[in-house]
Amino acid sequence: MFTVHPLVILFSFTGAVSYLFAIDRKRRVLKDLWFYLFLFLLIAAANPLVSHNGVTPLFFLNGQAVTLESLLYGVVLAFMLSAVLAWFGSFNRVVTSEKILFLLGKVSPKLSIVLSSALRFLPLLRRKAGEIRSAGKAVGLYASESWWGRVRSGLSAVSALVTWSLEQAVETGVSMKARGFRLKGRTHFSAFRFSGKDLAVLIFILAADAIVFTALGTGSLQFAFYPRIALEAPGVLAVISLAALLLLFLLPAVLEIGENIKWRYYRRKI
Amino acid sequence: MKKNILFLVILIAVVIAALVFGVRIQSVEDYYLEHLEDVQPDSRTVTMSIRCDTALENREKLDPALQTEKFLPKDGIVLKTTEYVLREGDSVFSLLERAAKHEKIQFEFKGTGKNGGTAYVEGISYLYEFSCGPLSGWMYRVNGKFPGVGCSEYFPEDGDVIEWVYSCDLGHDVGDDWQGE
Repeated sequence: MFTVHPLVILFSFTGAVSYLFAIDRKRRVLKDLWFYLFLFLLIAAANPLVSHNGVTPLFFLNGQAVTLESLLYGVVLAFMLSAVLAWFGSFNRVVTSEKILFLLGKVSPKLSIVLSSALRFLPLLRRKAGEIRSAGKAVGLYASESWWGRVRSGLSAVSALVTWSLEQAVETGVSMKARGFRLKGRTHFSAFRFSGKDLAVLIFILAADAIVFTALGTGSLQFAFYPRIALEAPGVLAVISLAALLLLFLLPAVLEIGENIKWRYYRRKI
Repeated sequence: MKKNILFLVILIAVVIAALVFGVRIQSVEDYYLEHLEDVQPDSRTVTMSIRCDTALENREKLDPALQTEKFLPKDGIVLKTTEYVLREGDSVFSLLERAAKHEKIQFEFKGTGKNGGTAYVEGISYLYEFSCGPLSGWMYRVNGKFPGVGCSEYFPEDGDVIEWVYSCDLGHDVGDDWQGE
């Protein structure tokens, strides 16, 4: 259930990056991509240095072949990792704690509350630390020139932060109890509704998945870089599953861009 | 800004590593330009062969990418039994390296195999460790026995018969009984 087919990885990368551009501001996405490029180059350069298999040696480094195959394999692996990073980046932007609560709330309310508060905790802590630091600066905490003075300022800021987070935890617990958390007969409210459109998308995703997993299971999407890059014409099943994968990967971006166009159109009419 | 500094640090580290460890770049022609001494009546020699019969016997386990005759010789012979002149300080590894260069056989190893460094042969002629099941890899025999030391640590003597054999079962299928029965 694993493939390094270059087309699959290219489709995945294209889908992930176009979705990132659809949901976020261009400058922030470009900042992310800049970091991916750095990782990309690192991986693409590292693979030919550690893997010397392949029928096309380009040159020999300390008695080991640096081959075209391992170079291309490195590039494909780099694309794969960048695609994974981009997908997780979009996951972080799209799946908010509200959605996690909605999805897991009925299965396990405990797990979902732990998950969402844990996910919320770190950014909250960071924001509070910044607040405490600026407040400390305002009352002259970090003014001392000496090393020990600065350490003491930092320690008092940390102590304030710990106190605050403990208090916050207790307050959260009390507040949840007051609102009737885990009482019997409690109902949920969520803004999500399962519409006919959702059903259509779900059926499409399941159908595409079925095709892709069939192709993976029968080995139609196998691709070998070593010892020689297999440039064979793909079979019928491989072509169908590649098309399904392309649609699957582009689906989020297409839906998002379609909604954006609709939104702009409606706004113009107001 | 931070990323630039990180990049710079890595670049400097790479340059220093290159200077310290020494990087030797050879063109493909240079690499395969290997001179072998002619066998004289009084020269000390060993014979060496490389065979992969077990990979042929276990074709169903073999990596599909290697299932062509180009990568898997039909008779299992990668290098037929050949006589090589023994040089001063020759290990089994240095003999393999010399033969592979001369015959233009692809091979990959881990380690250095020179100046006291050890070497582990990962693959010969595109046939790698784990290419034919999880217990497969290259082993060597000297005069029919498996020495049980690394190939860069074994120094053959005049008249030794060295056989590189591919095993698909940790040596059991080529006659190594290091684990007993």
